[in-house]
Amino acid sequence: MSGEENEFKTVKAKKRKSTDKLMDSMDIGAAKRPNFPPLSAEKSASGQKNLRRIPVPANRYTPLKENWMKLYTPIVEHLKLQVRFNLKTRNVEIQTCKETVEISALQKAADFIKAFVLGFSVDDALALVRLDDLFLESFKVTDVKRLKGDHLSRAIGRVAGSGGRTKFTIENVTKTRIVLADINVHILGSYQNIRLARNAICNLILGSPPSKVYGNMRAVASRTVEQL
Amino acid sequence: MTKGNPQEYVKQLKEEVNDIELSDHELDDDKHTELLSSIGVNVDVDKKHKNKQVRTEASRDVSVFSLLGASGDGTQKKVNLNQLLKGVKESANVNVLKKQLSRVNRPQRHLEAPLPKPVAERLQRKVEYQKTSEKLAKWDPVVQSHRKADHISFPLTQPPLYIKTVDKQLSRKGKKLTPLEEEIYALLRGNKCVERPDHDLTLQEEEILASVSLEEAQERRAELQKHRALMSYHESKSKRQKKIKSKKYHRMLRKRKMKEDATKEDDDEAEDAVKRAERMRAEERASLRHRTGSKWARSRAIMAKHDKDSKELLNEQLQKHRELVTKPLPDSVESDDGVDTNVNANGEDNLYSSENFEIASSNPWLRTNVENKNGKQIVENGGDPVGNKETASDNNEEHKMDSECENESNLDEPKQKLRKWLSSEDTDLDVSKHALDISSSDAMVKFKEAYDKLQHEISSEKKTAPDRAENVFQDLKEETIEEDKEMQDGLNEQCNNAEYDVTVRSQPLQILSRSSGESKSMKVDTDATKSFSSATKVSEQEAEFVAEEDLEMGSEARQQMTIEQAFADDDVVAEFAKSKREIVEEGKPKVVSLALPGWGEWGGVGINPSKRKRRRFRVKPVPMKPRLDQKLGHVIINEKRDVHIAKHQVNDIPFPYTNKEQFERTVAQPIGSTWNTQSAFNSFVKPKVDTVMGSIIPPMNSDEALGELKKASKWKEDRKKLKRKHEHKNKLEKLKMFL
Repeated sequence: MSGEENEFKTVKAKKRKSTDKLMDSMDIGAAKRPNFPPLSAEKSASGQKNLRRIPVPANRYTPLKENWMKLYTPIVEHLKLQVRFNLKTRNVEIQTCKETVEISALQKAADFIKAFVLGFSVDDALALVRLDDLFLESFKVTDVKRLKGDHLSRAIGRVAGSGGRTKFTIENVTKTRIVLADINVHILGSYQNIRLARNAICNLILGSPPSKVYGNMRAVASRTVEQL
Repeated sequence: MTKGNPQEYVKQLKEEVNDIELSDHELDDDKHTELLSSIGVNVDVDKKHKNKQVRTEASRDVSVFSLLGASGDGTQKKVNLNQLLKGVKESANVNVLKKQLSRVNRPQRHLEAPLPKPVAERLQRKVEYQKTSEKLAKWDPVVQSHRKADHISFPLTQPPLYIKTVDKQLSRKGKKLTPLEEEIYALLRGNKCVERPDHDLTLQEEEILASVSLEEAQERRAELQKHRALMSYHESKSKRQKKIKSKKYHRMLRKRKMKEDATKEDDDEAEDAVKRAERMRAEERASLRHRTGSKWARSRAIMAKHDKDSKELLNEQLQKHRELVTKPLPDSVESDDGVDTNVNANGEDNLYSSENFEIASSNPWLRTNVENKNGKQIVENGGDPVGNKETASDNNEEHKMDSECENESNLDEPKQKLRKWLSSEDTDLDVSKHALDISSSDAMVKFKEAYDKLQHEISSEKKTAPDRAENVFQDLKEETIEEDKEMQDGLNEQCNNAEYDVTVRSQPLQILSRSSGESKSMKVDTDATKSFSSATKVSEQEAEFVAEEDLEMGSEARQQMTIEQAFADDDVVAEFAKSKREIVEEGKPKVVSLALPGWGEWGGVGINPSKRKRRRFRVKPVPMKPRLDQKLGHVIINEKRDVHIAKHQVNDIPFPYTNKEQFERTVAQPIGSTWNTQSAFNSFVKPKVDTVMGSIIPPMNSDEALGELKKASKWKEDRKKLKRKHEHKNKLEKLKMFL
């Protein structure tokens, strides 16, 4: 056998391309299936207009106005809802309309606005719209322990840390966002993470030193990671 | 006197006569000279310059006796008292005079009054300055060289560095050598391999040289050289090949090697290769490696919508799979296939070989004619059938004509011909006739006759009805079509050539009609842009020339079209105006509404903020300054040009660079150490002046600095000398060769 005989020459495939065939068959199958599109939000609400009101405190009025377009666009374009800021009552009102696809969009939008009003940044709050398994949790420092005067201040100070260091650390380790507004604490995150962060914050309020809280938190976090 | 030569005698006689004649004058002259010398005037000089005309100037010191006057040279000579006294020899009271004179002549005893202080100082300063500047002038070259130098490091004279050699160590006096040192010394001295300071070669080398004959050595050296070269070639080649990252290349290389191996080795191995190939095929069939299912392939498939490359990549992979999976066919089938493809290729060739066709479609000059031929031409109104008909009939003529006349139709021919036609002064009908005269076929002759007939009609009856012309051409067409059909089948190939000629032939007619239209438009049109676009090439003169003859021949629409065709690219003014308008529009500030949708009223997908609100929050732009080029019709001034940036930009490409890209590349080249080798970076950032830390920088030593200069100049001279020597030697050699 010489070298030329040994060489491989391409021969045009006489068969139909298998991929094309597959695609075609799939198309046909899809066409034959019964098609039941999901009910629109308005229909599922049996024609009633759903409305949510989120009150805006005075201290969040200016930030709301500044960030209004950032809040407005995802609600209108992504969630297909109608929204207005009622200047008289100082409420953000959200309602469904014909274009609304999902009924759950209303709740999402309400949570989104609520989170912003509580003090989270727009980008953080937007995660509530994007992801389904995120929650908001709020509690007061005084709920954990009855503290008054300097003791209360110190407890809040412990949670925040110098320059907000402790708060940041907790946020980073637990993958949550925390807003500390006077005695109110708001946590944004998934259920597990919120629990972790809440534990840490409660321990701090109760008086344990930050170093100890870090240690515990680290251990728990690593354990949860291993579990996953 | 009596003796001697008669000639001499005559001469003497003559002299005597002369003497007698001159004697009176001589006497006078002598006395005069004596007198003059006694006064102190140089007689010789005076004699010399007696006849010289002296230009005199008005001067203050003019004396009656011209004693103070300038001598011929212009140098003044003072008359001494002694000279004057020569004439007073015989006077009686000489002694008295002498005494008086001696008193006058006595050197002055008193000192001159000192100069006033400032004057003296000034003089001193002047002298001093001259001296110092002379002294300092010798430093000028040193200073210049330092200024010009790219880099200077201080202190200028650094102590010479040298390595202490063993010899020098050993040669130190008064110190005993240790036994080890002695041993080493003895070894070094006694060894044959040690380099000797006064010889190029060591002893051993010399011995070797002596032992081998020159020819042998040369041969061996050549052999070794060749071997080394081959080795290095091989090495570099394999290195290069190894470096190539292309998988495809390596695959091909491997295949080639496999092929070579197969040819080299026996059949068994070849079979082995086949087996291997089969195995590969089986593996390919078993695996899904090159199919669409892999993660990569799926991602490509998703990307394929946006990215052409990924699509191609996918296809490539599929192709590869197909290649690997296909069974190698026996040779006979292959060859059949090959023939098929060849045939296909030929077919394609036939289809597309007529590049003329393509060019015709791309060339706006020819496009219309092609269209004409295809009968896509719009139906003309009654006024203008001529040009079109002519083209059509002409077309038919050409089919026949081309079989006989030359095939060489240059692609640019029509254009060129038209240009020529445009440029020629006498744009008569004759020219168009001439254009028609090219061929000599029967059909052509017929056509010509018809044409002449038409022309005759035109000239005889000033108002020729277009119908008439049409008739003529229809007749002609009928005649020609019959012949045409016979030939047409065989001449399809030359069709394209024909088209060109048709274009040429039809062009004059079109132009005639066009120019007539032009002459009209000239009078009416005053718009600058239009005249710019249409007026340039066809001059008014031409238009007038032809206007009378073919007023009837053209219609406005046709003319317009042809003009547009001819000067399709020339509408520069309108283009410019358009671009300027665009730029101005772009630069204008826009009205912005800052109304927040949904703030105070419902906002959603279909809802726009109310008009009232929009109007309320509308922000009117601040009126800008009028543009600099607002009133200049033909100028665009870029107002965005940043002066601060422009400072760092160049207008022209600096010297060593020839084009923009080169320069930009070098400028874009970073000079940081991250992107350059350390040495290059160092050279980039080298400071002009460099000092060695901690060392004293003394003022320059004059001897050293000036000596260095001298040395440098001497070195230069030496080099020159050497060069000269070398040249001389070369010349000599050449001479020898020549001899």
